[in-house]
Amino acid sequence: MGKAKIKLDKELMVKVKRFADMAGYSSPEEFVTHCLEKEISKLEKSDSEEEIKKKLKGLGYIS
Amino acid sequence: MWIFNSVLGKIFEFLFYPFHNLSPWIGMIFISFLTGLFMLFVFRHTSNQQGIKQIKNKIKAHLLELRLYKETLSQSLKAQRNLLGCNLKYISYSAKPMLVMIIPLILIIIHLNLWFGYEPLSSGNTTLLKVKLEETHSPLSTDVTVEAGKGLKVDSPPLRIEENSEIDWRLLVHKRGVHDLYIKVNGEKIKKIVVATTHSLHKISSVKIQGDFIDSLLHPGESPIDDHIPIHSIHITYPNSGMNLWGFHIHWLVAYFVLSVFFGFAFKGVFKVSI
Amino acid sequence: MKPIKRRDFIKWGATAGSFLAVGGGSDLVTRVFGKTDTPKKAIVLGFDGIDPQLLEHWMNEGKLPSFQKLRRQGGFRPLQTSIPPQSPVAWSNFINGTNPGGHAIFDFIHRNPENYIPIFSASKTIPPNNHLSLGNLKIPLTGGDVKLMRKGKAFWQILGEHDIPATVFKIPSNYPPDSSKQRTLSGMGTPDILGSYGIFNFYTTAGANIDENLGGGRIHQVYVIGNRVETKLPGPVNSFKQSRPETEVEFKVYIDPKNPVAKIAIQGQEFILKEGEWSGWKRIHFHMIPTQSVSGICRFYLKQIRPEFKLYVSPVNIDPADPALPISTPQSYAQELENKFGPFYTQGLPADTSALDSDILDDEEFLHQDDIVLQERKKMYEYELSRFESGLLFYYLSSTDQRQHMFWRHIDPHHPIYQPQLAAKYGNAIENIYKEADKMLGKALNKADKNTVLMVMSDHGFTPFRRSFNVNTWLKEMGYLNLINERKQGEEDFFLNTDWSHTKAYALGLNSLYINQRGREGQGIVPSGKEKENLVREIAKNLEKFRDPKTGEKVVRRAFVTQDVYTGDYAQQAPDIILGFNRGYRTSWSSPLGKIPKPVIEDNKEKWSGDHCMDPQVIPGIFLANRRIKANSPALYDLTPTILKIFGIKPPPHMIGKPVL
Repeated sequence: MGKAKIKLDKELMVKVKRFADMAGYSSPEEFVTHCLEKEISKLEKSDSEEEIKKKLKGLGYIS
Repeated sequence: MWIFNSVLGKIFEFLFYPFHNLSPWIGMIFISFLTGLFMLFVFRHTSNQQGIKQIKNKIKAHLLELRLYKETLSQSLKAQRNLLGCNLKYISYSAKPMLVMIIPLILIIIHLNLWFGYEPLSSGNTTLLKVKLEETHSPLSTDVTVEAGKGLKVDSPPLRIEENSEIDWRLLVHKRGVHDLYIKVNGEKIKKIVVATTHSLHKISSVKIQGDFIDSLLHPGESPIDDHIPIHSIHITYPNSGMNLWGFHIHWLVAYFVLSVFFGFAFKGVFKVSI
Repeated sequence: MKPIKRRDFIKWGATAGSFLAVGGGSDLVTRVFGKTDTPKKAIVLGFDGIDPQLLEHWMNEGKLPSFQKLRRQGGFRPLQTSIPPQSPVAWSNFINGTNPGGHAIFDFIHRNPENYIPIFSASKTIPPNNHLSLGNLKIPLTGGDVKLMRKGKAFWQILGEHDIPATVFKIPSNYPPDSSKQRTLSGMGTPDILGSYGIFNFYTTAGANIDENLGGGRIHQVYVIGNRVETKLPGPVNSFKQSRPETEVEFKVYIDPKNPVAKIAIQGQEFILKEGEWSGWKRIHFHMIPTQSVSGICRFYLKQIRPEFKLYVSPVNIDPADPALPISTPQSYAQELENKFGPFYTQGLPADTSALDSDILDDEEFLHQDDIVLQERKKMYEYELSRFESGLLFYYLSSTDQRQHMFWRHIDPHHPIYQPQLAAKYGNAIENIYKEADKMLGKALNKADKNTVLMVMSDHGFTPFRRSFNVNTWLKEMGYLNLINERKQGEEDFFLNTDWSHTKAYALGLNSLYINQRGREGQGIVPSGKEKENLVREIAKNLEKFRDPKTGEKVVRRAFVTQDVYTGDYAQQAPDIILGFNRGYRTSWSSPLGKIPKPVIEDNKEKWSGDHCMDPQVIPGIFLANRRIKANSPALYDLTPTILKIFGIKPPPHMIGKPVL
């Protein structure tokens, strides 16, 4: 799989490096990849899953 | 205007007096019957009865013609043209009584809305009192207070809405009956009637208004607010009433029209009126 | 016994129709109307979650005189509950006289084995399958359907077949109500207008504290501009449009610049609320397309005006006067009650436990809200009791269950969130609801003549819920479940991070555990037969061995292998293991929907502090009657043939219990 580069603000890059290290990621790339995957997966969830979740939420036994 | 409204109001009070504790349908049937008779009376005296009889005969003839000559295109077209002409003429004959009737009917309907439009408040329930000030007066700087008579309680602090020049209160009804409510402003006291009776048919005026001819005409239930008082109107929210027919709610106006027309047609033979 | 004749039935139905003057047409004619004499009568009160230990304790202290009287008249026994002891399962055991193998309700939540997605066990919505597409519009040509998933025949249907009239009020696991000539109103399982278990709306200017992941509610950021708040009340999805947008109704709140009072203006209705006040029911119409709208009812609670504006709106309930979904048989029964008492909570479990759990309502406010529910129920109870003359009356109360769930923390000094000050103030909330139940029972005792059998039952008892067990995390630690990405553990619902090709078992729902079985699950790997059976037994054994590292106690008291304990036509559909938790333990908050957090076991810091999803032996329900109880240890499914026996009806062969009176 090919790789592409993404430009990041310098200040942000400093933060990314610092927090990636603190959180125990092996590299800033891994950290950024994980963050992006997390966000994308939120968007990717199908409508029906969201609808099911919304409906189930009202049940007091679960959160 | 108020004298006129007041007299008309008394007439309705007199007419409905026996029906206070009966189903609203009885009062409705009674007033529709009177309206039917009134319409027949107007029809008989303002329409061209002879002309109506003739034109109806002509319409019948043309209908017959249409049926007889349906194979012949030119004849049937002619019959249709004549039929249309007759119909227009028939409508024109009805126009005069309609015009004569329309003003009194509107007045009757405005008054009937006081009787059939709302339900009285019930004990233990709350309602909204809405006082609208003249736009020149801010509700924040105008001192308006409410004094509730027996059976009523002012149940909330005033809610002042500057953008609408409005002050609202919540009223609690704790006793059935017809209660007085006083709105005090600049040393003046204005009375507003609040109806919480158990009567199934009672006059209910939801709005007391200060205003011109049209306003007074449309809100005939209570005497208007004096011009020098900075209050434009006083509203009490009543539940809307409907005529209940086997579980279906019918707007009273629909019931009124249907019944009046029914009585009109039912009695046209008795009074020898051609419609 | 003198059964009701068909002619009487029609006669009474027709008379009722003319008096009630409500719609419903043919319903009125076919209604069973409890007038024709049955020599024997039965009143059954179902108090959800009443616990035998607490009941006995307060009875002995003389605090529950009616329960004491009933105990003296006949007897009192703990009542064996269902496996698992969840209300939908337990009440179904009672409704059908079977164990879950006979009615197919095994948990609050089942799953679609194809994709492991959790679904409600109680009912299924079937959308219309033919549409006419017109631009953005999608007009259904055939009607959709809602289907009750509980199988088998309900006892009131059997009574109906013998012309015994019955009124069954709010029994759980009966939404949509089983078709019947009897008078029934659906209970737990009945959704709100959104189709959910109950989603409240909360409008606040305190935006910084918004928790988007709140369970059971939606938070709306609002702004007070010129002493006015303008916002929207969300309604059901508009399925008449291709994009299925959410319907909404705009409303305004006017605030006085100084006084703690506001006016709400919505759809032509205006009403004033003082700070800390609840409105009455307000009817709202959600418009779909011209001529089509859905009617719902809700209540407003003005929590605070200043410094932050806070307005709570209850879940929008199905309007009983114009139900958008089926909530009663005959359909006119809900309308009849609405006609007599005004709008009422139709939602299955109306106490807003989610709002209390998420600090939207505090203890006082929650009690007030549930009190509204209780008052509604009591009024209808008195009405049903007063007109009860023959056959059976079943009446259900949910507040007993809901208050124990929420207020157990005030009677349990060992609970992680026990607070002595709050306990001093609300420690009697549970006792008080038992006293309310006692008063209701008192009325039934007065009504019951010598021909009336009076029974009181609960579906399960109650225990503390102090520690929560992440079942899937335990499965992972034991090597039965594997993740795709370890780093993402605890982030995803619905098993989205689960590596099914290396997963042998998963837990879903409140007590259910499934084997990832080949041919049954979408990505199953464990072959059925001996290999699966060995795995089931191995996991069950390991679960029972596991101890809480903090307390040293067993977490799972008994792991039931369902093929050993379930009988009946639907036993094959059951989960493979039912977890019977020990006292104080329950499945965690996020396990039921397939989330896999990091800790295996943690403190339960929620206000929802009492529970019953445990080992059935730990939390039996109660059974009292005004006749001698012959059985020492009656079970829920024994009460069904007991009722049939009162009316001289032989229980059908699928019922597994024996009469106990």
